Amino acid sequence: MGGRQVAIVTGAGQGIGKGIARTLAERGYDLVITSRTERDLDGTRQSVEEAGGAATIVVADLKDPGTASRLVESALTRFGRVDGLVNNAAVNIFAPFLDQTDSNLDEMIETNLTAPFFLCQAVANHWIEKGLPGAIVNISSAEDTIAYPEQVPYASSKGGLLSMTKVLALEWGPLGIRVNAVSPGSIDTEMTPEVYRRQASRLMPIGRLGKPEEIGSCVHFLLSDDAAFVTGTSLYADGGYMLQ
Amino acid sequence: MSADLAGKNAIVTGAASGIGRAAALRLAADGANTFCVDRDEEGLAQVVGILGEGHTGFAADLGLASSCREVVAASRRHWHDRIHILVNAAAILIREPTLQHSRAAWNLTLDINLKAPFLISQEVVATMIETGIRGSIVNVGSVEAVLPGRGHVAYTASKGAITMLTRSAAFEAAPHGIRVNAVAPGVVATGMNADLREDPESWSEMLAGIPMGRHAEPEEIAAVIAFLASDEPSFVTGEILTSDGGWTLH
Repeated sequence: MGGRQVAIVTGAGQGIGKGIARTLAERGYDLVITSRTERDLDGTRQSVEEAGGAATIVVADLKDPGTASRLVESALTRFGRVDGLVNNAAVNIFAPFLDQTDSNLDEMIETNLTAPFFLCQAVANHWIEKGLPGAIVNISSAEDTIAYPEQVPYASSKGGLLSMTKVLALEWGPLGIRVNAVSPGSIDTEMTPEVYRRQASRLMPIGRLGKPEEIGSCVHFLLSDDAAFVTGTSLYADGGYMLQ
Repeated sequence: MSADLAGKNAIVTGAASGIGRAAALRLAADGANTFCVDRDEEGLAQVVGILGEGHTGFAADLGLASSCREVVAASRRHWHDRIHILVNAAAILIREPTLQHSRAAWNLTLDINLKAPFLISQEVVATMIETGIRGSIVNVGSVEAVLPGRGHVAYTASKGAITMLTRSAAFEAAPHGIRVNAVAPGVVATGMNADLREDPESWSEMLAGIPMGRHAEPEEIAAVIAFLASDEPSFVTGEILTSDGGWTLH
């Protein structure tokens, strides 16, 4: 594989997405990074450039139907190729089930499930048209399997994302397009409630929260040729949380 | 990119052939020193010959509990107690219909496929705790932990057990910073299915059921093992990473 590879990372302005972008840049990727907030993306771009990569910023709302093709076009225009897609952007609005509103539900399903659906379509259309192989990594959640209270829409969206991952892997296996998920447990980001950090040594078998870069290294593996026979699977990166 | 295993000491069982052999070669290529274990002395000598300096072969029949203990004792002596990686790849498959599956086949399969990884892991984890090494254990499971193979009852049971051996060991070893994971391969071209591959028609019929339309080479499973063995998945433990070309999706 000559030269740098190119990946699209959504939700790259902060948290896990920013860590994924940084890790991929360190390992030879140039990136198309997207988020709704330009200032956040500037920070990620700086981090990517420090790691030796190039980044194109696309400020966009993933709920906008035109965003998917815009992201693929940005990759092709700037870098002339796209090798990987990382569907990371997600929204989680906590509320008891009976208090979840229509708009909460729409926000989470559209961002966490519908947007990855159409991005997978857009990027795979390009690969299939050109007869190219490709790799997609969907960032799911331990909640695609285990339950937490007050997160019905989020958990449903992640369960859907995992199912989508499997069906796409099946459909596109013969075409050399691999589709996998990484399902993180508790990761320490700007959004992490302080109480999670305090409880981590007690609640996590590994004794701490995860770091965004630790999700990045899993994503990198699944995008790489080392995972050439891995498709339709989810890699749980949860510090052993699901063992208890 | 290869995982960086420079300076790490890795025990690999079943290293004379198949996935174990590929794992030893890959870990070595990534910089690890290997302690290769197998009962096939000839195959072992051949692998160690390829690996060259810094690598050791140790002939042992892992069907015997005493041999399992000797493996760890010998590797401890060899590396002055410093073990960073254990890959439990040794396994056998005896095909006999369930109703006729012999006690001998059942016992031998469980001894080699399940008890040996248990005994060796126990001693390796104890060694890692003693030396404060935050090591990594990789078990070779199988998609047969969830999808039975006809006539594979003992093998299937042993691989189902590997799933929970992996998770139990991971749970208890986690506070020590020791990770335990497994790869669950689908169809891989090894000696275990060499006879089946001689019948191209039925073999291609099986491959047609795999979304990727092909079997894996041992090197592709070794690449997954190398990832799990490295520090790359530092937040991953108790995980069974399926590597089957999509076979078990439907």
